[in-house]
Amino acid sequence: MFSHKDLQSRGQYFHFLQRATFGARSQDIEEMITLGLSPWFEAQTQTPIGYHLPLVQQAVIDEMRDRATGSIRIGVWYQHAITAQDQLRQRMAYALSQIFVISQNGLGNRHDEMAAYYDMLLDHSFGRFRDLLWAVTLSPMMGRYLTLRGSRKANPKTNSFPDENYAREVMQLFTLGLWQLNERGEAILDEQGQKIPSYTQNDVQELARALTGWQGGHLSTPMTARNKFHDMGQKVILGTVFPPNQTAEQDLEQVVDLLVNQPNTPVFIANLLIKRFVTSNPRPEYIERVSNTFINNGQGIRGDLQATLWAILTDEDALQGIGDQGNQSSAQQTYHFGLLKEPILVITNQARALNMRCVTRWRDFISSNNSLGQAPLAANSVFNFYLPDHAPQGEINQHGLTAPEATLLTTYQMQTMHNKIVRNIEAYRAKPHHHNNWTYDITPFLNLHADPDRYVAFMNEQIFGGTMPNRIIQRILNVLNHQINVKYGTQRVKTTLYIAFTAPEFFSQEACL
Amino acid sequence: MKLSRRRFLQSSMALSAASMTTLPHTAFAQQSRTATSDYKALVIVFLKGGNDAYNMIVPTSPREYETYQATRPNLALTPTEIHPISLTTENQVNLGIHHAMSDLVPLFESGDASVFVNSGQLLTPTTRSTIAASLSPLPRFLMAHNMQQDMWQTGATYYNSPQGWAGRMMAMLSEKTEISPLISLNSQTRLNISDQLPQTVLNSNGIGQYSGWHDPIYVDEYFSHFDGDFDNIYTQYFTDTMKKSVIENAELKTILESHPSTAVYPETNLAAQLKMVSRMIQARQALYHQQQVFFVSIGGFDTHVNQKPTHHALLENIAQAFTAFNSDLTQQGMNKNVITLTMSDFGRRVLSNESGTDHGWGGHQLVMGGAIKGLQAYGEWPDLTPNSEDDYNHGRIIPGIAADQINASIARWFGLSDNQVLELFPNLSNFPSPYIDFINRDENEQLPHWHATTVYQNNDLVTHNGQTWQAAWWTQGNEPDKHEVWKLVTTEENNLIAIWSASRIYREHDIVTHKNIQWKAAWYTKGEEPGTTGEWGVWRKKG
Repeated sequence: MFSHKDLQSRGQYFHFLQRATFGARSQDIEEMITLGLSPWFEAQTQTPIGYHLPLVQQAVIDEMRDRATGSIRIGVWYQHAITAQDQLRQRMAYALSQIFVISQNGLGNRHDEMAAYYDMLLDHSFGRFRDLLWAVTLSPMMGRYLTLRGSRKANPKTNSFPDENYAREVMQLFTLGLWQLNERGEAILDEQGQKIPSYTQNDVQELARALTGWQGGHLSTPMTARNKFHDMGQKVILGTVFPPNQTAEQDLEQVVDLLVNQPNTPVFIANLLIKRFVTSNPRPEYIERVSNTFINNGQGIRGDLQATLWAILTDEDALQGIGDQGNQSSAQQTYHFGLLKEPILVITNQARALNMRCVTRWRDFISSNNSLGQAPLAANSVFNFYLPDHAPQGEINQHGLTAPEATLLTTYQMQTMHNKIVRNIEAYRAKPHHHNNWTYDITPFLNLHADPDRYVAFMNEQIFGGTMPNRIIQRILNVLNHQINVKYGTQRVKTTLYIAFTAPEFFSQEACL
Repeated sequence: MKLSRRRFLQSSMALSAASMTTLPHTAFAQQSRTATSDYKALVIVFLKGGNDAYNMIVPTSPREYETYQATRPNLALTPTEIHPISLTTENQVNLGIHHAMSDLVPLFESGDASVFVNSGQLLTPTTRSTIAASLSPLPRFLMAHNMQQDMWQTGATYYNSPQGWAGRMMAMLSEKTEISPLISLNSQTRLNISDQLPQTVLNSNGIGQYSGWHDPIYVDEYFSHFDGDFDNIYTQYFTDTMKKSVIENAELKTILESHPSTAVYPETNLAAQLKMVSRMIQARQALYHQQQVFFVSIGGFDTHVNQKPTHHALLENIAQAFTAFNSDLTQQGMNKNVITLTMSDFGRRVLSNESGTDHGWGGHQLVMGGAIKGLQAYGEWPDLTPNSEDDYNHGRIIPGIAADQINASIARWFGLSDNQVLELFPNLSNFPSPYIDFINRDENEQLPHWHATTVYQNNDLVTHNGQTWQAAWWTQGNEPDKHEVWKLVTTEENNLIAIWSASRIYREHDIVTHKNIQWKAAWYTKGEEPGTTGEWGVWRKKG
């Protein structure tokens, strides 16, 4: 179904896999080169889904607990990110979890239900946007998080009104965005040069009425309608009439169709997804091409997420490393391509480079939320860990560019992330009774350190897929040849791993031409 | 600047030792050491999600309570759930506070805390009729969390600007210091973004150590990364952040270790943030900070459902943290130098949902500090009746006070001129005054009492027996009400009529003569020359 596009160099395969997985391992690069790009992608979509809820439930049983904990749920998340075969799907679900945000900050200890929500995202990762939006809307977790669950029509006795929470955010964050956009993702301006809102407060109120009457649901069982509490009156949403006497299901059908078919939705979602996978500053042309695939996958289908993802990963701008020039000259486009890795990806990249495994059971070994400032399904609010247009002070801001992930790189968080990287390097020492630890086998490194050239080539392959910068290679060789005596093998390995895993290039996702 | 490990170690030692003179800004530092009375801090406590202010501050006057109760019958506090706070609004409505905040009652009674009633984002004075007649442009995307959170931090005009109003203010006021005085707890905030100064982001857990750095090779190798010069903008940003973080981490660690907290705070996240703020206030001299702006926050206010218990717990949390912070500052003798102010996305709708409330517009904010004029509430209690002049729609109340008027008053207190204030908040030229007069004038700027041995020059002002006098020529030993050298300059309304002086503060309605023209002040001002402030500026020709 896809045109065959193959890459020019091994480094390009490495960079492609850095975007499409939680970390490109040497064996992944080999596999992809053998298969070819398109068959690899196709195979990934057919790989059995690594579900989260069953592992969470098993851990609860094994540990004889009453209920799932955050450490269990997040541990299962890391298990899949680091070891699952369906890497592309896991990565897509993670991207979707940063758009259709639910969070333990607000949902409390319902970790089994949150795992079920995540599994729902996995199910829809390569499906249709319409089905995803339907499932998200009726998910009991989203129902609790954005409080659609239990929203009822107006009650004159208590002077109470339908809940507007989900109605507002489904438009602002899940489909339309705040401002009307052209097909290139740029805000349309009115005669006064002002941006034009893509919906009004009245639309929010009317949509809230259309979404009344949903309740119940548990784990993967969606909420159900109780039409007694559904507002059966006529509504007008975004200029479209919803006739009177529609049931909650009928209104929802019309709502989902309306939102999916709004002109803003493809371009809004395209921009958000590109930012999660490829670059913080896509060119308008890139956004437009991805959006066009969302509008029509070539077979007349709108919202095909698999086709959209393929368009994102194989776009000419992605493969040629072209970013938006911002307010600079077009000569700067190459340097604006890429992104700052979010701390979670830094850690999964490291763990996969070291082929980390767990001693007995995967837990949240690194205390993700505290030490990285983020954890899956644990954002501070429905606005995610960062805003997509965040522009940190300095050159990025001055050039008219964005780097959302910079939000997390505070002085405190830089130090705590550093310490987790060091802790992972030390994790080869984990003993069998350290049963929740992650660990790795240090012997492949120990076997080579006495031969610095072969050793550095091996590290380069394991950690940088052959793209290790020469500066880092020279630092490593310097340590091996001049700084630490060959009799201190472990010290040589740890120190050189430290150099590689703290290199600035390890923390950004760049182009490789 | 190339930063070597040796230089890094030297600079952290320099900070830990008393030899501060090796660092720049020495002159500024010496000045700051002698000028605690001029030191000022603003602490913003952001209540994220949109606080249901209409259940935090509640009217106790019978008629207004009845309307409140009828508007939200399933959520209204009962009289026993309300503690009176002996504050009255400008339209004579008595106020009470949610009983979860009873810890704050003594602060209201001592004048150390007050309330801005029904404040929010406004571009111009606004009512239901002016909206219907399309006379009032509305702030963009009212009721949307992130846009409204930004507006409190940027001002209603510059919501699209990357910079916050405090960032812009401090760029006008402050010299560059090693640690920026724009300080946010736990993450960067819009309020504290400036194009001149960086932002300090502190974690309430304090400062950690880089592990592995007992080994000098680790430190050398980490520092060697700073030398990289990268074409890719993200890699370069990360490198810069690595370097900045190492330096800031070391400096803050040294400074905070020498300024431990001695006060008792509750075990809550908000209290931990305020405790860290208190330590940074204590460290102001070591930091060379003449002014500081802090941003702390507490989430969970988006109470669409199950509001009663959730809101109760949040309000209790705030009251306990505020009380502890206030008593800590009072013990340090810094209470008069610090203003603590709440902000929140928006007030919530007065009409309710099934068990919670939805996004609204106007709300009430708390203010605390020894410099405020307490014992009164600011603003008018709105009419909560559906479709009243104060109702935007469905119980979303139109603010009476612009949030920017509160911000502007603080900016003036920090030392901005009226022109600078209007540069930050251009929308305030639409209002009768850009300010809410809730801050006491600095003690050292009050007029002196006449003294028999003091020499007075032409135009000097003194107070004597409760009246204000101005010297017409050089004088000494002549008592004001006994000698013609002293001219009485107090009007019937107790306002001044005097020769304008650049160093003097004038209040609203004060009258001055300058270059033979009489001018009347439209609001509190200092240092702005009559005739230069424009048609809508502070000085209006008297006529």
